[in-house]
Amino acid sequence: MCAAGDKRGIDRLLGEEGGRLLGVAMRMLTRRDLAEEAVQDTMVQVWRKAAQYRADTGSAKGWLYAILRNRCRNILRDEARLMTLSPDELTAVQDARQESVPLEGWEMLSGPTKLKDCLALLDASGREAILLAHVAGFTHGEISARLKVPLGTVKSWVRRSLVSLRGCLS
Amino acid sequence: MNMDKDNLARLADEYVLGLLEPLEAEAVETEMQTNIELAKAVGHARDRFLPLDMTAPEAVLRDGFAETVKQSLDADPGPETRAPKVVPMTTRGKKSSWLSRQVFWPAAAAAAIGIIIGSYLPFNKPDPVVVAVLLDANGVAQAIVEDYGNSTAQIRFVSDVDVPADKTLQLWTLPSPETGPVSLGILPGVRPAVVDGPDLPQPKPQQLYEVTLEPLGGSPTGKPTGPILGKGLAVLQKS
Repeated sequence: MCAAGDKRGIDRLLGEEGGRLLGVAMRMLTRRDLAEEAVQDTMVQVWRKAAQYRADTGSAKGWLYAILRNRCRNILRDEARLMTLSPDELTAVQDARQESVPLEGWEMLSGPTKLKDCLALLDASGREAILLAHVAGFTHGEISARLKVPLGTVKSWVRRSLVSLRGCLS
Repeated sequence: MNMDKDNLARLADEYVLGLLEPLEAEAVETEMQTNIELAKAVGHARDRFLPLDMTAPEAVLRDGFAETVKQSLDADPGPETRAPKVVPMTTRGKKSSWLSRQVFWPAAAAAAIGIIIGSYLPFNKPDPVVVAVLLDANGVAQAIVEDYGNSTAQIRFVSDVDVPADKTLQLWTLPSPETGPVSLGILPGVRPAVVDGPDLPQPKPQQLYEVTLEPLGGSPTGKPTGPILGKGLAVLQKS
């Protein structure tokens, strides 16, 4: 419907995925106002690009959530945007992000999924690095600071873990 | 982009996880416009990690949120189902018909990705005519060249490049097989640089760019003699 320029498509999409989209954005951004901004921006992007989505390059749901996570990451890395927050608010966001991924966050995966099984096979450090990146939008540098290990070590963990994951999931 | 499957998958994974540097992510987005294998690898990576998004607790949208979204769409240009707004520049400062972009597949994806990229980039940059991502033998991005078509090009490195003390980096392009490789300049080191090369025809899509290691002072023959650190083919830069 969005592809056809029918705004009822927005209602339908928000009805089906809106709560989860907001939940993902809240987990990354930790503030409701920023999360709503990310979801709204995502809907605008979907509205503009729905006709251009290609089913042969992945699922529409994967495409939708990728747009959302991109938007969340850009808000997190947009210093000008974050400067609209007071210093106290900014500190609160950064502190909350530190807590947004529990150490064993991969166990959040509900039910028996292949991804959960494959994450379980990874070294704890590599698994945490991947989860911090995907779930909380951390950069290599932020992961390095949080885990108190050199940047090169984090990159090495991530690459090794991604190879293992691809092998396990294939 | 001539990459083996493993490198393609690694790049896609790190792109989807948001772990690439901004310039690397930009290069992936540009490459996805023409590289269906990369586009599929990115799509597969998105789907691979999607279950993690499904672990987020659902939040309740406030009343009227959908209306707010729809009102914001009233001021929006609307779905992009027609001619993309991205157009190539055939001459500096002059835009040509978007139809000429149709040589690039898929045009729709190119438009979508181009506009996404555009929305995140500063708008006051001058517009290069073409952009090339230079890859090493393993398919890893080393540098990005932006050729402005007025004998000026800019290079930015996106990887650590090791340059021995007795060597220098030199940037080359291949305007045509008849012309052979032409030096655009000797680089001051592994840092962003603008080079002022000779007068050449307007750069074209698929034009080769490469960086080689040469003796201090540059290639003694006027042609590349040293190992290639990175090479890549140009794509037209969208406005």
